[in-house]
Amino acid sequence: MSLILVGILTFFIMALNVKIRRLSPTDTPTGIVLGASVVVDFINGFAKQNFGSRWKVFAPFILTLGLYLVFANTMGLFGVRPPTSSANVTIGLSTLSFFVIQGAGVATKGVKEYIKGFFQPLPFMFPLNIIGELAVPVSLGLRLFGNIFSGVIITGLLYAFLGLAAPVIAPVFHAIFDVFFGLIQVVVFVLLVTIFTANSLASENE
Amino acid sequence: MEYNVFFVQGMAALGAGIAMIAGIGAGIGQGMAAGRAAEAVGRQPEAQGKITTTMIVGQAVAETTGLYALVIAFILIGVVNG
Repeated sequence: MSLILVGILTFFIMALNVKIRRLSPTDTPTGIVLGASVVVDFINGFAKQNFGSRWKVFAPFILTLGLYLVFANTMGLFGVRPPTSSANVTIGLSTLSFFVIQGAGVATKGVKEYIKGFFQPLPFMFPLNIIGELAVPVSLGLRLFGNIFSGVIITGLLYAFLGLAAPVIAPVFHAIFDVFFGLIQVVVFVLLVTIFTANSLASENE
Repeated sequence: MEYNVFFVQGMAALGAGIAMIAGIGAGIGQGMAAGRAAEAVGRQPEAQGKITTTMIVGQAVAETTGLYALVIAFILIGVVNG
């Protein structure tokens, strides 16, 4: 399901790319191109707020993560199991974010300064700092997995319990578990990745 | 007392139930957050949008401890079924 979703999204974005290339600079964008530019503008503003002058590196990552999660979390609406209800997908995503967070720290501070950061308040805090860094991907992944998986289980139980009455009553629960919780978890995941990455960046002296 | 497969399965089911006691903490935390948000809206009705967003994000993070318990309960239920 995850691969099919990624395929559809890639195709959609390539089609969008062709449409944007055909646009002449004097045209006013309409329809789907306008929507895409609004989304990109929003993400750019969000990244500028959090990353300062380095926003250009991170904005595409945030948008990719957000776009995938928005569709992956709400896939229960189409009658399929959402990809994020598997711990493999969510832990994979959070491990990717972990490398982005640590990589951002190494790239901006330099290796020496980065390792020094682990001994920061006091030297014997080293193991605690390591555990603190490793807990981030675990908590990010399990939070997303728990939310979506519990939604799948509860809607599944509901269908088994209601029987023939399911088509009348179930849509409300789909709206809650798939759309509401799914979209909130997207916001939370993206927000936390952004905050952790911004924290691990070296402070700017401008 | 005899320790057999059924004993292990029963204890695993019991453990799954006990693990979900952690839901109390998440529930109390979310309720407190919602109560404070209601107070804040009462004091400053014009900031309702911002308060609601902050409250929902905070609640989603507070929910995490409850979800860890849920994951552990699912693992234990896997013992019962497997």
